Amino acid sequence: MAGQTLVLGLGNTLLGDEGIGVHVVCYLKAVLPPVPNLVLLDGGTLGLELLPYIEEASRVVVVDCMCSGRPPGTVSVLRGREASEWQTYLAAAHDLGLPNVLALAHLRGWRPEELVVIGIEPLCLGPGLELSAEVAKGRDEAAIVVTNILSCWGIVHRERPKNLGEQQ
Amino acid sequence: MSQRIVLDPVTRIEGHLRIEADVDGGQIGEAWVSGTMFRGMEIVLRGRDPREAWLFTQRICGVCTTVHAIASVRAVEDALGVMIPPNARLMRNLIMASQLIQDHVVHFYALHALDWVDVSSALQADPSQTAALAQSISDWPSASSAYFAGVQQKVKSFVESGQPGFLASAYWGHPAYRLPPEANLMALAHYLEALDFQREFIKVHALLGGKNPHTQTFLVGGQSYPVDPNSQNALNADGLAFLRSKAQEAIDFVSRVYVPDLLAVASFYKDWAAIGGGVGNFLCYGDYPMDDSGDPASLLLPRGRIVGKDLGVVLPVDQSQIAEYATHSWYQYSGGDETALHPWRGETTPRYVGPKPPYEHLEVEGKYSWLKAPRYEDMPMEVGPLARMLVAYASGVPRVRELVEVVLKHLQVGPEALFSTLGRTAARGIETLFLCEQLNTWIDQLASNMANGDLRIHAGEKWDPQTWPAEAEGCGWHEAPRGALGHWVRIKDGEIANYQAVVPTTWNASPRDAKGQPGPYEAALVGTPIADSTRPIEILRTIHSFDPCIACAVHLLDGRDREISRLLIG
Repeated sequence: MAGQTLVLGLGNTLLGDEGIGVHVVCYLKAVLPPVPNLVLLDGGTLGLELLPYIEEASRVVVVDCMCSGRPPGTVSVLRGREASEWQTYLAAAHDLGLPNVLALAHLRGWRPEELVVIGIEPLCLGPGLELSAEVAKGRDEAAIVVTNILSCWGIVHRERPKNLGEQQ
Repeated sequence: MSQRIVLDPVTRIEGHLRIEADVDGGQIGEAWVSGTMFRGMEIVLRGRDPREAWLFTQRICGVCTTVHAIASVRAVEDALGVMIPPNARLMRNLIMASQLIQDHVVHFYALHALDWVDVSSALQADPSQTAALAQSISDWPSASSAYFAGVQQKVKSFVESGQPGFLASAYWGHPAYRLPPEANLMALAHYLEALDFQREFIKVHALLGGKNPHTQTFLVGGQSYPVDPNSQNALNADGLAFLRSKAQEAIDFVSRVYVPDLLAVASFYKDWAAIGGGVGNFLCYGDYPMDDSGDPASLLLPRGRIVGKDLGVVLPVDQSQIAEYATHSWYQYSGGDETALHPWRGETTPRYVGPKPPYEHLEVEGKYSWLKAPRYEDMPMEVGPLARMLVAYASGVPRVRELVEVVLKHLQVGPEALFSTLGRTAARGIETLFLCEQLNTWIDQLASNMANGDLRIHAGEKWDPQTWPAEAEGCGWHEAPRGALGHWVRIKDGEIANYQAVVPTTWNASPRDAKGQPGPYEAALVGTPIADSTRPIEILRTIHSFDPCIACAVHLLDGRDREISRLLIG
């Protein structure tokens, strides 16, 4: 294990708020300075291709769209057991979505020090390239949450970038 | 009295690919297949620059990432009359073939194997007998009893960790599993090895495509990755050596692991050579141009149709004969839903009239799918590896005939066995080996062009929209891993006026048409035996034999009830 930290944004950017995870990662790429051993990855709608990135990381933050019935833009953080249980929810098909890829990595011997899942409540999942206004605010908040987590892990050495949360 | 069973594999809430089947007397009487997601890509593209369409269409799918890019650039090149230079053709062939090889290996091991391989039984296997079995079918080096004991231990520890993930949900211990424990353990070990193979092999895309997935080197008119023996930032001698090493890895893994496993597993399931036949009509657009003539005769995998399982005649393919029905699909056609529209005149006006979720059953007498029903001369057609191998076999491609005959002989069955679930799965393996064997031909031609000073990668004469006619239409075909993929584009005043993609899974998973003819999945399920209607693994075997494109497009974490839905596109 190379001790890398992976921030993995998931989603389909052609379907409005569905792409929120990717938007968060692209935003972080724009505002965070380059940090050794920190990988900010646009995971798009991929499955198995993510396996090597996951296996090379000892700490993983997954950012994705999440429906929990809360107001659009709400940011939820799943940690510890909640985050690892998330791996088992998508269990039915022989599909290779991220939870199954995490399970496969586990089967192959991957044991992360940290796994955090950050979910952002969507408003609109219809065709379109833009985030809704509510979810765009959630993007900024999620970026702050990710930065704080990275800072707690000692990866980013300041509270947060100056313009974070202000930049459009 | 028949019983309606529902298989909505990923979620019971929104679904993606949903199957309803009437089971009577232990077998399926009738079946309906529904794609429960709306794509809408066509709407996104309208009004855009046709030269950038491929960047958008590539995002239709995250699994076979290159295929929609290739079909798109070909459609625009067809509309504008652009011929690409030889190096671009060769690099595209290498990108396409490596996508197909990687995708088929992943399909066999990660998506399909668990329909035939019982992981719970593998835990009971004797590692030394497993080693003996593995050594008897292949000279692959990882085959010692210590190796298999290690794999068994890994799986045990994983299961005991309480996070079994995808392994928790399968139908372990189902009576339809028939492999001895040692064969199960061997296949499981190779399942894990396939993960390493696929991630190493796809580095071909990182080299030729700039990155993987979603390669970035396509262009209308050719490719953007330079070919230059004197540059470090181009395909040079080092790059060619890298490609040769990857080609060798592919030949090794496919000929010494994948194909022997396929034959070993298939020999325990020969009854599946008589199940899952389907519509019996096959369509292949053909692919892998071997020269720059643009002549369909130059295609390595020939173009053609087979109708009514008749391997004696290969019929031609005329794109004007393709049309899509929306009679049973959640769309509205301005001229009436009973009509069929050619893709250039295609319409994408969603009209959902199905039940409000959650629902128990779809209204299969009316509209019941987000997939349209493509037809050729009003006939449903199966597409995919089986269609390609049948057309190549019937067209007399020598190496395909040879490989097909080796497999049939090994299984002691005749050519009629190809029209089945097992035939589909075998065709995929045959095709993978066939394409592995071609890789070096294209690498050698690239090397020879470079040696002769031909470094062209792009034909730029038609790049400027000023050179385009006011109106143009084109179609771009590609034989994607899952089958015949077509993009149709209409260009007006430099912009996309209409865009339609008819994807392989739409052909195969199509609903009924205006005449009530079932699509290939629906037809293939008829007559399938069902041992236990609460655990219909038999349905999965046949549906997975088509390799449905499931892991696409949309995924959504549901924090309320801990379900995640992943919705189907392709």
